[in-house]
Amino acid sequence: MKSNYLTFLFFSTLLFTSFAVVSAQDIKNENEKSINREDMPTSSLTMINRFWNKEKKVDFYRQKNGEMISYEAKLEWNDYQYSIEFDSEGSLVNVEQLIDFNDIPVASQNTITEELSKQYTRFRFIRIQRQYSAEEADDRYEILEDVIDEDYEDLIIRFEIVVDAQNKAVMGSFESLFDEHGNMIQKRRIVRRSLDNIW
Amino acid sequence: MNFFKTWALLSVIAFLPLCAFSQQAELIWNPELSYSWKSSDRLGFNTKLSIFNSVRDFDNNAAIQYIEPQFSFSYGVSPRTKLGGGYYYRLSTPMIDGYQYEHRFLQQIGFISFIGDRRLAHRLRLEQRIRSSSYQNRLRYRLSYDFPLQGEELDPGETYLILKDEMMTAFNKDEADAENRVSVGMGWYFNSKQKFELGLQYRTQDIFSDSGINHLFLISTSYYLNR
Repeated sequence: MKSNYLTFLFFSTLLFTSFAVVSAQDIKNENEKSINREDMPTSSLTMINRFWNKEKKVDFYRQKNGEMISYEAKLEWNDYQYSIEFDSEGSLVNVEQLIDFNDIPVASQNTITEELSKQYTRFRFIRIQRQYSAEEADDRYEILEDVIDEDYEDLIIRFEIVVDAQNKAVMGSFESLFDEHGNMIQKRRIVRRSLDNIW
Repeated sequence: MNFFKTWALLSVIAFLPLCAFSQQAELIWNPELSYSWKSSDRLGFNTKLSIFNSVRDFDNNAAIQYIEPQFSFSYGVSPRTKLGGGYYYRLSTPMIDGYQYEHRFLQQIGFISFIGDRRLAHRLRLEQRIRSSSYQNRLRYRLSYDFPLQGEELDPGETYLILKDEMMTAFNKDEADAENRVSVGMGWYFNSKQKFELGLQYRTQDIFSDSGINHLFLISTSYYLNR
């Protein structure tokens, strides 16, 4: 009985380990990794260095979504948390600023609240970011300078809002993108990791 | 944060020789297989098979201390609050004549906070343990924290650390006692449906007992599957 049990344990462990290794190799389409400054594309670093010296604390990340690679620099500046996204070549894509709901113009706040109230019976703001981007790809390199100069005239402003929300049919975390007037452009569900190991 | 991660990793390394060389304490290997699924955003289910193996008795019939099939469910009151219940059946020393059993019913509530992809969970659990020889209630509180080791988000193929501490009191009409369980573990997140955890737990048992505190070290190898 004892030797049968030991054999069972050994083969079970072997089976699950092999299964796991195969699965880990099969699925790897979206990934974010912390990287060093030196691993960032040169042009992205040139842009960062234009506004902040090398002593400035900046966290760098590489994101992989399928075959698409992008880079992100995260830093704190003027009491706000900024996330600056670059494409694989190091060209600027957009700048996101972490804000409070009250930082949004009141009229847009009302439109956003109205829209969320239509969709959910209860909701709670978790994370709000103001996103600055440019209409034309050629103008993207100016986004960061415009944000720093507080010259928003040529920028597209959007709000990326994460809420914990529920109604009769659904419950969970959702990320929505609103235009600067508070109209919803898109919405997606945030799939959280299973809680089975901490619940 | 780097200091914290380093400290946690060192704890894992430090626990290993402690487990291996401790002459006083009991050493357990606890393999677990867990399968979870959801029938809606609110309602989730879990089944688990958990086995306690005494490392010191591996060469005799007392090797298996318990075999415990578990079933539990949870209902999401809000995205961060869950209520739940469950039933566990424990078969003790199945390879020794005169084995014992236990029926366990449990009720629990949990609160989860997210800081990015770092998670902090509080769980309060009440148990009724109906054993072949006695009855016991147990009140448990557990604090769990897990966080990715690479970057801010836990992506497939990456690893994470998990820290837990659980305090509990066991009581019936005749006696009461307390126990603490502190654990540190490392997890391999293969994808959203599978992960593996290697954990080390130190249990301080029978804290109020006249005969003294018991120490137990437990090495857990847990495989989690989700639908």
